[in-house]
Amino acid sequence: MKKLFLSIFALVLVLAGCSSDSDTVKITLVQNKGEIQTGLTELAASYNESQDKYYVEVLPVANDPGAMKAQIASSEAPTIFTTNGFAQFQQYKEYMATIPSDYSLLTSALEGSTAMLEEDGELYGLPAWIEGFAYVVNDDILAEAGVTKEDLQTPEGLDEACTKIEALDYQCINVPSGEGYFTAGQPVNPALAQTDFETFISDVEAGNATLEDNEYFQDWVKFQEVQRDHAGQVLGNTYDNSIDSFATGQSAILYQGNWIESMLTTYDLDFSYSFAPMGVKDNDSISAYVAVNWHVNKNKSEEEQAGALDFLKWMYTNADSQAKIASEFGVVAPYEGFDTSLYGELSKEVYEYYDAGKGLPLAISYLPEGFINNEFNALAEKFYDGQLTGEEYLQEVTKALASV
Amino acid sequence: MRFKRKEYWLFLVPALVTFILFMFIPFVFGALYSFTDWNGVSSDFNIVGLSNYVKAFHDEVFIAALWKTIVFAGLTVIFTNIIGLAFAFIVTQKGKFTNFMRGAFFFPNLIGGIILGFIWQFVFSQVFVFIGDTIPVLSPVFNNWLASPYGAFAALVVVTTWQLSGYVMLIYIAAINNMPEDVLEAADIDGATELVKFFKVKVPLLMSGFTVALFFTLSSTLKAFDLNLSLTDGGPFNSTTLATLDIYRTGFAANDYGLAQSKAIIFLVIVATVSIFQVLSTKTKEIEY
Repeated sequence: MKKLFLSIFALVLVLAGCSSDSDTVKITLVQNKGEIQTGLTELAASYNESQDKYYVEVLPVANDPGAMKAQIASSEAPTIFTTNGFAQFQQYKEYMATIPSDYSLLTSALEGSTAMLEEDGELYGLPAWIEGFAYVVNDDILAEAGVTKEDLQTPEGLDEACTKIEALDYQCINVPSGEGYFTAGQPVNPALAQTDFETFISDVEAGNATLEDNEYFQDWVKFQEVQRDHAGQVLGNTYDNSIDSFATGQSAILYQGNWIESMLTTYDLDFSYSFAPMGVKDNDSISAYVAVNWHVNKNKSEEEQAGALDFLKWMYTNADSQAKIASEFGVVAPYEGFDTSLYGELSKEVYEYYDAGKGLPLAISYLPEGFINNEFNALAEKFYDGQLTGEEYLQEVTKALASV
Repeated sequence: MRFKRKEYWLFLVPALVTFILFMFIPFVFGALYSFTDWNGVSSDFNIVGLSNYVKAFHDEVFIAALWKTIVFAGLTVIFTNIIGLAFAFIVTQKGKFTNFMRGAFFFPNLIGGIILGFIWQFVFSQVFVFIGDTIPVLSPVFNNWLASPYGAFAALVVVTTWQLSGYVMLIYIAAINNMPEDVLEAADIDGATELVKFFKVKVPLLMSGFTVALFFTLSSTLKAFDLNLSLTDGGPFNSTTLATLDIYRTGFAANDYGLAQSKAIIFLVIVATVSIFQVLSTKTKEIEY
C-alpha cells in the first residue's frame, strides 16, 4: 500500500514538472460559438507548433451569457474573449485593451467591419466573423412552383407564391419556436435596421414613438402575417425540426442564416438553395454584419496581450489557417485574402452581400439585453398562436419595450 | 449543540470549512448584492436599498412564476409519492422480477435533468406527433404537448414524476423493510382487512418515510430548474417559466443581477417556510414503536 502511494506521489511530481518547465507565455482564449470550437482548438494547436514563444489554450466554449460572464469575472480570466452585439460590447468594455492603430491585420479588415468597435478614436477589438440571414429558399421547389425570388419581395407576392407552393404539397415557410432569436429577433431585423435604430429604440422606450406608427414595421408585420398563415404548426416546432424539414425537402422557405450550412451538409441534399431578402419597404439587402468580435483583456500582462494579437493575426493571415476557416468553420471571416470559393453557398453570398455594401447591420443587438428571448419571444409565440393580430403584435411589442 | 470533548470539533472542520466557503459566504454576498443595482460584471454599482424587492413584487412574470412553481410542486409531490409508494410495495413483494423492477424504476433518476429534458422534448414533439398522425383516433392525446401552455405544463409534471418516483421508491422501500413484523402479524390475527391494515397500521408505521420523502420531493420540485430549461425553456409564451428560471433569466439574460438576487432571497424565504412547515407537521405524526 505504501508503495502504491509513493508511486502515485512520484507520478504527480513528474506530471507537475512537465507542465511548468518552459518559459512560453500562456494565452487563454474563450469564445461563444460552439460549432467552431473544435476547429479553433485545432488551429491553436498548429499555431503552438509553428512557434515556441506563445502557447494558446482554448478554454471551454462559453455559448451562453452566464458562462461568458463567469469566465470574464473570474480571477483566471481569459486573455482573448469574444462579445456579440452592441449591448455586450458595452457591458465588457472596461475589460478591453485598445488595439494599436499600426496592427498589421487591420489593413486587410473589410470596410466597415470595425465600425462598431470604435469609440473616441480608439479601437476596442477586432471583428471575428460575419454572419448573415434572410429567407433561405429551396430553388428547386420555387422553380417547380413557377415562382421566382423576385415574387417573394412583397407580402402579396409571398402570399401568392406560398399558395402555389402549397398546391404542390410542400409546406411553404417553416418557422421554429422556443428560441427568441429565430421566432422574433432575427425576423424583425430587416425592419429595425432600416430605421435610425439607436434613436428609434430609445424613442420607443421613452414612449415617444411606436412600432405601429412606423412605416417599416407596418410593412414588416404584413410579411409576418403571411408567414403565420403559411407556416403550419409553429409552437412546439424546434429549431432542429425546422432545419430538418427544409433539408429533407418538405418545406420550401426558412428564415435562417449561413450557420445552418454545417447542419445542411450532414444531409444528402438533392436541391440547391440560396438567400432571398425580405422586401420590407423594397429592401434588397440581407442582414449581414459582424456577429462576433475578439477582444484582448487589458488586465493581462503586456506580453500576454502581444501574444493574443500575434495569434489573431496568424489565424487570419496564415494560408493553412485561412483554408481551414473557409472550408470547415461555416463562418465568414471579415478579412481580405480568403479564397471565397472555399466558402459554402450561403457563406459566399453573405460575403458578397457584405462586400457590396448590401448588408443590413444587426440592429436587434441594440435592443435591451434579454428582451428578445423573454418579452419579445413570448409575444411572437402569441402572434403565431393566433392570440394577437399583426396590429396588436406591434402594439404589444411597443408596450413591452416601453416598460423594460 | 454541545460536545463533551472539544476535539470532536476537529472532525467537523473539513465539512465546516467547505460549508462556510461554498455556501455561507456566497449566501451573504448574494444577500448583499440584492441591495445593489450591480449588473454582474461591472466593477461599479450603487446601493439602492430595498427598491429591488419592491420591483420584484411588482414583476408580473415573477409573481406568476411563483404561483406556477407552487402548483407544479404540489402536483409532482402528490404524484411522485403515490407512485413511489406503489412501486415500493410492488418491489417488496416476493417474486422473480422484483430486483429487475427496482433497477428499472430507479433508472430514470440516473439520467441528468438536461439530457432528460432533451430526450422528452424529442418524445413529445416527434414521437407523439408521429403516433397521432399514424393512428388518428389517438391524436387527442398524442399531439405535441409542448405546443400549448397546459400541455407543456403537464409535460413538466409528467417527466418530473417519472424521474423522481424511483428515488422516492428507495426511501419507501427502506421504510417498509423497517416495519416491525409483529405489529403486522397482530393486525392479521385481529382480522384486519388489507385496506384497514394499510391505512391504520402501515401508513402510521411509514410516517418517518413520509417525512423524508415529502421533504425531498417538495424541496427538489420547488427548486426545479434543469428540466424546465431543457424541456420547455419557459415556453410557449412564458407559460411554463418556473421561479428559478425567471431568476436565472433576470440575472444572466437581462443582466439585472441585483434584482435577480432579491428574487432569489424572496424565493428562499418561501421555500424555507414551506419546507419547515412540512417537516414539522409530518414529524408530529410519526409514531414510536
